[in-house]
Amino acid sequence: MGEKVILARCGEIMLKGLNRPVFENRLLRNIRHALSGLGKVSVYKSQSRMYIEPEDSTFNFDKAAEKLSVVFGIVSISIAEKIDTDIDIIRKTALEQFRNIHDLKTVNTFKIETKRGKKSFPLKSTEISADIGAYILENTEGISVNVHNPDITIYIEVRESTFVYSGIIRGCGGMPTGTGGKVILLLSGGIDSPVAGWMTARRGVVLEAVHFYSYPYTSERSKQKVITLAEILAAYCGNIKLHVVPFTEIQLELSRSCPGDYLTILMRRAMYKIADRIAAGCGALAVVTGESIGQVASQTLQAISVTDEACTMPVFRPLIGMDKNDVVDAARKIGTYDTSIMPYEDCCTVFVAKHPRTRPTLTRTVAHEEKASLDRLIEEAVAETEIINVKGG
Amino acid sequence: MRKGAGNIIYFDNSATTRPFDEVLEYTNRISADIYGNPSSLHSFGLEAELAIKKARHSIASALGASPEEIFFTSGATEANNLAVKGCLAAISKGRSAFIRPEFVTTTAEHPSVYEVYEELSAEGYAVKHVGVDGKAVADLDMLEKSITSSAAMISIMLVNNETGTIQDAKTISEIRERKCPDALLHYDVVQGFCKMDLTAAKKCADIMTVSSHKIHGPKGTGAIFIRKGTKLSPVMKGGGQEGAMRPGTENVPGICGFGLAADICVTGQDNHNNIIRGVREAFIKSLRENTAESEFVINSPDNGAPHILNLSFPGIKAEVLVHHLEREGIYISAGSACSSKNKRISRVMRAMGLSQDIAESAVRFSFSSFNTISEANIAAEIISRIIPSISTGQAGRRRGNL
Repeated sequence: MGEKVILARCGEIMLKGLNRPVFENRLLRNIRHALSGLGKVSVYKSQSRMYIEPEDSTFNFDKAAEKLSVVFGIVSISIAEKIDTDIDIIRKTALEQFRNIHDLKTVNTFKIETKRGKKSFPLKSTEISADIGAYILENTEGISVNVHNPDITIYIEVRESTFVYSGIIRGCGGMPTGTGGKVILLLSGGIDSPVAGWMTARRGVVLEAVHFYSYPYTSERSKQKVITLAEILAAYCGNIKLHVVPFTEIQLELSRSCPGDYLTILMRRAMYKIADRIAAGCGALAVVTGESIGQVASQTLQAISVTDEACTMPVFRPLIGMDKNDVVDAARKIGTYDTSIMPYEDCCTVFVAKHPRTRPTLTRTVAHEEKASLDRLIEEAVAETEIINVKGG
Repeated sequence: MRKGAGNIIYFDNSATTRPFDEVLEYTNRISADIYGNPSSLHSFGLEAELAIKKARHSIASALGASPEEIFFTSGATEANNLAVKGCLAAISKGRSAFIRPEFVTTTAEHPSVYEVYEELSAEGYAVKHVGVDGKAVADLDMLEKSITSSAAMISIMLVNNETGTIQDAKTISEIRERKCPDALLHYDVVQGFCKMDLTAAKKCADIMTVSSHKIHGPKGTGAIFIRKGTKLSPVMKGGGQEGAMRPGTENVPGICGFGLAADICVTGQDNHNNIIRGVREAFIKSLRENTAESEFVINSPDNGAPHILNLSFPGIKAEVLVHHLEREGIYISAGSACSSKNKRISRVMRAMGLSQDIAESAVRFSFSSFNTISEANIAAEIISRIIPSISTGQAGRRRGNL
């Protein structure tokens, strides 16, 4: 009857003012990129929507919807029938969609929800809903209308063309990737840092990740694990440059020269110093970590303030107020959890004192730090950093 | 150059072994030429069937069993699952007359037995675990005391895969005869197969399980010995292959390679064992000469299987040593995979009652006849050199020059 299209709803970018086209155009580009493997499509914007129309009869709509559901900037997606704005055609299309769903699952109640963008259309929204509802009731049996808690809802949007659809797939929301600048994410391999990265990337920010690698105190598998995590993130936010920093020498030097209970805090300061340099080198404007207050010894408020001082860039900690359970839930939703819990040593777990200092002071920390000859080692670590280009989906 | 042919030192032969060249060539040839389905009626299928028959004879003769008592599986994990679940299936089908069957095993079993019993236990079956001592020797007094005539099966790993500890097959069998003659005796002999005399075990066992890739055969193949008349029911249904005990089109190249590997191992057994003993002794000797006695602890018993040597280097986490050695081209196993976030001490080490420090640092060296005394000396020297340079990162536990 009509043609199948995908509607993608954009969230807050529609609230933007004069610079709105910047965000919209980026989103259009990102959508085209996400769908690039699926055949020729035309993507265009109209009012608060993006429309995706395939030019290919074999286009896989479900696959496309799946891909769009991880594109930042899209709030929700529907696979719709695009038809002429004509009450007779709308009736028939709505009935057909109803029947298609009814064939697949038990439906006892339904509801029609109409939006009328085209104000010249003779019927008002509620009148259209009543008309289509009546038409479906006339042509089916054993079905009733329930406007509060229906088994299914059929949506009708009357514009220049009319769109009929029944399912709404949730997207990730956020802002289009590439509209928010670039950050450096400290990616450890644990549960928290990928979530912190995802939350930041969702705001349209491009990620470059830094991983501190302590081979042979940790394994090649632990590096592979971090690459896998970056791959999962890249499916959302596009290619990620992963900087793998050789960190063993710094840890050895610290453990030689400094008291054990300060090791973790000094190690974290060294990480910040290195991240700071990498950030400056690649045009990133901030550093993102997965810290949350009080989770471990190095994440007490005192410890965070002492480590923060080592970084000249702003450090963002999107998980700062989250409980571990919340982070775990988020990691599951994003899809990083199963990878994160693989049991390989990472650089933080080997060089750990039984009782690290939880309330370090800056003066004492810096005094200990000065005993180690870190400057040259930090230079070397930055110079010997391996860069891995992790491709997005 | 092929890995293991001089450019690396492979001391992880309990994990898996380097296949014999003859086996590779043979499996390749079978894959290429004898690809018929052994169940096909035509003569091309028969060729494959005959190749399997030959392999079955090889495995049977290596175990001192008859060919009809050998059933090929995808490996020892499947064979162990089949042993325990097959026993239970026979009982629930009324083929075995147990009213409230009990299962008896040890705390130091391989996961392919241990986890199956965990599942049975969760389903409400009575599963008794006999403890082990500090050298992983099963407490047979406890076995004698705890076992009753309700026991339907006793499952014991004859040679422990982490420590090389050999259990006393004869005494176990006597206890069975005295206390529960109807119980099936199931030995997991994976680590002993083709490496030691299994006559005593074979004499009393109703079921034995073996694996191909631990004896230089291909992966993905194993076998279960089921004594004639043993009441075991299959757990899979299919086209009736392997006497319907393990249906599914046979892994012809794998099975054939397994058979050939067993032939080679049996023929060379004494020679292989001499090489392995020599390597082990040289390794320990060289380690003692180059390292302070206090730096390491031997967790394996003196009278265990010669190819498995479990050591701890207290203060050095097992995984850390594994990675330091891999950098030198030496491959070993970590007894325990552990991270300080998620303590994962090996269950067997815990069952042995080893201290946290010893268990966390337990590593396994396992030898084969491909290893040489010179490899043992080189490895021991490298370890002695590396150990003092490994920092533990823990305050007050710095070593050597750190």
